[in-house]
Amino acid sequence: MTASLGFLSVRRHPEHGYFGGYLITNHVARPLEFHCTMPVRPSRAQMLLYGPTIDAFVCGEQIAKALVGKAKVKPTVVLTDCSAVLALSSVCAVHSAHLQFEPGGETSNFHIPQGSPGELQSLHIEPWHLSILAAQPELETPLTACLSQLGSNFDLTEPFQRVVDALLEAHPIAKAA
Amino acid sequence: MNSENNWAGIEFYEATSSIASPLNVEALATGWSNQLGRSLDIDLHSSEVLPLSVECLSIRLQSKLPATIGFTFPEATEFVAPADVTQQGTAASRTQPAAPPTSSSASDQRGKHSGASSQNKRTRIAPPADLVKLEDRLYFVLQPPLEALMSSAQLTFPFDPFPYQMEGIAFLFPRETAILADEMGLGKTMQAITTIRMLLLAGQLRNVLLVCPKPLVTNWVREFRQWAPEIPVTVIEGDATKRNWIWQQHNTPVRIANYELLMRDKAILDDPNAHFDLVVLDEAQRIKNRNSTTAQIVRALPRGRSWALTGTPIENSVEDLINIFEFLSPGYLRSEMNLKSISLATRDHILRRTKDKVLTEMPPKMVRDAELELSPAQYDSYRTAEDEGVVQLSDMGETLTIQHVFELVLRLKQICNFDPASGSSCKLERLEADMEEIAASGQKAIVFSQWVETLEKIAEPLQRFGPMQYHGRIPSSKRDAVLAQFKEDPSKHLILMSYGAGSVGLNLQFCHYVFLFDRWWNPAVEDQAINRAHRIGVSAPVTVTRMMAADTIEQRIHEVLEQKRDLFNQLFADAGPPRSTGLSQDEIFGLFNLAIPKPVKHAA
Repeated sequence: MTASLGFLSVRRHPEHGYFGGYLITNHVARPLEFHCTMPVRPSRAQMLLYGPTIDAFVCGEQIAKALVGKAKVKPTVVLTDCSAVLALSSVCAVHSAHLQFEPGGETSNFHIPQGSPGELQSLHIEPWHLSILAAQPELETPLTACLSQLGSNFDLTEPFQRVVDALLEAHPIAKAA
Repeated sequence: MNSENNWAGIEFYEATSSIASPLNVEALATGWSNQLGRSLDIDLHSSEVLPLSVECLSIRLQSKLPATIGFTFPEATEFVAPADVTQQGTAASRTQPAAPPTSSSASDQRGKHSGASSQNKRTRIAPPADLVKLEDRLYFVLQPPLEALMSSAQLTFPFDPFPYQMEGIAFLFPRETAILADEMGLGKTMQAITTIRMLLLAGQLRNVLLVCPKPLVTNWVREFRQWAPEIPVTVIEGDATKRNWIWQQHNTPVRIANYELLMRDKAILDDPNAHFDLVVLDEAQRIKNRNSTTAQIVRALPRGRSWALTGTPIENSVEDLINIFEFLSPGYLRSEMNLKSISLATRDHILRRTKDKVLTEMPPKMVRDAELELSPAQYDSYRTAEDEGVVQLSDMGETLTIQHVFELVLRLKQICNFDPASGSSCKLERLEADMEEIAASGQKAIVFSQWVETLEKIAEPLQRFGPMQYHGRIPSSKRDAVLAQFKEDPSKHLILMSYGAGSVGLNLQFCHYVFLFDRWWNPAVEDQAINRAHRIGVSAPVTVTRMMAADTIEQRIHEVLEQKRDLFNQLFADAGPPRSTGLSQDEIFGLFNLAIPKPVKHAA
C-alpha cells in the first residue's frame, strides 16, 4: 500500500464558525481523499462551559474526529497547522503532530484558532519543526520514521494551502468579508 | 430628661413609649408592672408552609459530530511514463537535462531568473470557470503545484521554463477549450508541448492531433524532441497510402498534420471511429474564415479537447475570434455580441501575455518609422499611376468593386518599392546605407516584403552583404539549410523573407535588425514577422525599421493599420469602450476618396 499523509486544518470565521478540511495525499503529494465539514458553530453554553478550551474541543474532539473517522485511507501521520487539533488524540488513536510554520492564506475573516490542547513538546525532524502533546512522547519515533521516508523536495507546508483553497471552494460563504 | 427617670444614679429612658405592645402596661418607678401578672391575650394565626420547588436544567455537552462531505481521487492519475512510450524515447533524457537548442539558444536569458525548479515557486492549477461540479473543481484545486508534479515525475527540461510559461501550462492543463494567445516569441509551442506531455503521462490523453502550417511541421518535431523527448511523434506525410496507414495507427500518442493535408485526407477523417483526445491548432488564425474548407474540416474533427494557439486571435475583426471559437465551442460567441460581452465571455478561455509584461529582462524592441521621400523618378511614376488609377476607378461607376481598388493599391505600393521604369528606389538606398553599418558591426538583418520580385531586386545590389533568400520560391526541403547557413556563415548578413514564408514559427533571435521593406495589410502579420527576431533568447535590443514612402498610399494604409491595432488592444486590455472594429469597406474605398457604388437592381 502506498504511504500516505494526512493534512488537517481548521479555520475559524467570525460569523460562520469553524471550517475543517482534511486532505490525504500519497508520498508524492498527489491527492487521494479530501473531506471537509459543514461550518461548526459551538453553542453559547458550550462556549461558556469549555471556556478557553473551546478551540481544542471543537477542532480536535469534534471536527478532527469527524474528518478522520470519515476517511477511507488511514494515513501514518496526521499533520496539522492548528495546534488545537492535537486534542484529537484524546478521542481517537491517531498519530497527530502540529507543523510549525507561517501559514499562508490567513485573513482576518478566516484564521487559525489559537486555543491550546494542553502542554506541548517540540520536535525537530530535519528540516521540520513540529510539536506534539507532551503526554505522548512516544509519537516521536513513528513521526521520525514517516517523515524521513519522504523525498527531500516534499514540502509539508504546501498541502495546507490546498486545504484552505479547497475549503474556500467548497464554502463560498467563507470568502465573503 | 427628668428626675423620674433617674434612680440610684441610673438613668432610665422612656422605654415604654418606644415599645409597641398591645398590652396596657403601666410602668412603676421600680420598673415592675402589676399588669404583668395577667394572662396574655394571644391570637394565633396559622400559615401553611409550602415546600421549596428546585428545578434542574441539563445542558448536553456531548453534541453530534459535525456533518462532512468527502471526495476520493483515483490514484491512477499518478504521473508515470507508459512503458511503450519510454521505450521509444530517450531514457537518458528523463534523468539528464537535454542539450540546449541550437536554433533558439535561450540559456542566457533564462539564467537570469529562478525557474520552475525553484523551491519557492508554486504554480497552481485553477479549475476553469465553466466547471460546475464541486468534485471536479476540487480535483484541480487539490492538485499539487506544477513544480511538484514535474519534480515527482522526474520531468526534465532543457532549461527552466519562465514563471509565465508555467502559468500557461497551468492554464491549458485543466481546460477542454482554450486559446493560448501569447505574443509571438513567448514560447506557445513549449507550453503546449509540456502540457501535452504532462497530460499524456497522467493518462488523461492518449491520442493527440496537432495541426500546423506545413512549413512549421519540422519546427514542431524539433520542439517535441527538445521538450518532450520521451514522447513519440509521428508526422502525417507521404502519399495517400502511407498517410492512410499512419492515420490508422492508434499507438502513437502525438500526430502532426498540416492544414493542407487535412483537406486531402478529409475522407479518412470522416471515419466515425477516428477520435482524438485533443486537437491542437497552431497558427489558429488559419480558420478565421468560417466558410473555408480548412475551417470546416477542423471543426468536424471528432475530439475531446480543443486548443488553439495563435499570437493573433484577431487579425482583421472580432469575427476572426468568433470563428476560432466555432472550433472550440460552436455557438459560444455570436456576431451580434458587443465587444465588451465578447471580452467577458472569453476571459476564462483565452490567455494572452505580451513581452513587455512578462519579459521585463528581455532587451527592448525599438520600432522606427522611416518616412522616405520617393526618388524623383519614383515620384513621377507614382503620381501618374495614382492620378490615372483614381480616374479609371471613378469612371467604372457601378461596376467598381473592392478588387479593383486593391489592384490599384498593389500597383502603387510596388512603385513605392521600385520605380518600374528606372528601377530607382528610395527604400533600397536607405536599406543599403543601414546594411553598411550592420555588416560592419558583424550583425545580421532580416528584410521582409510581400513580393518575391521585390526581394530578388533587393538581393542583386546587396550582394556584398551575402543575402540569403527565404520565400515561396525556395523549396521546403532547402529552407532549413538556408536558415542554418544564414546563422552559421559570418559572411551572410542579410536574409530576404516574404511575409508568407517567414513570418511564423522561425527562431531568428540572433538577428538584431528587422526591415519591413513594405507594409502588410495586417499589423498582426507584421508583428509575427518582427518577432522572428525579437523573441526569447534575444541577447540585444532589436531595431525594427518600418519603411514608408511619405505622402503615398503607404502612409494612408499605415493609419488604417494603427486603427486595427487599437481594436486588438481594446479587446485584450479591457480598455475603454469599444471603438471601430477594423477595416471597413468604407475605409478601403476611402483610401482614394472613392464612394462605394450603390448596388444595381437587375431585372428578373
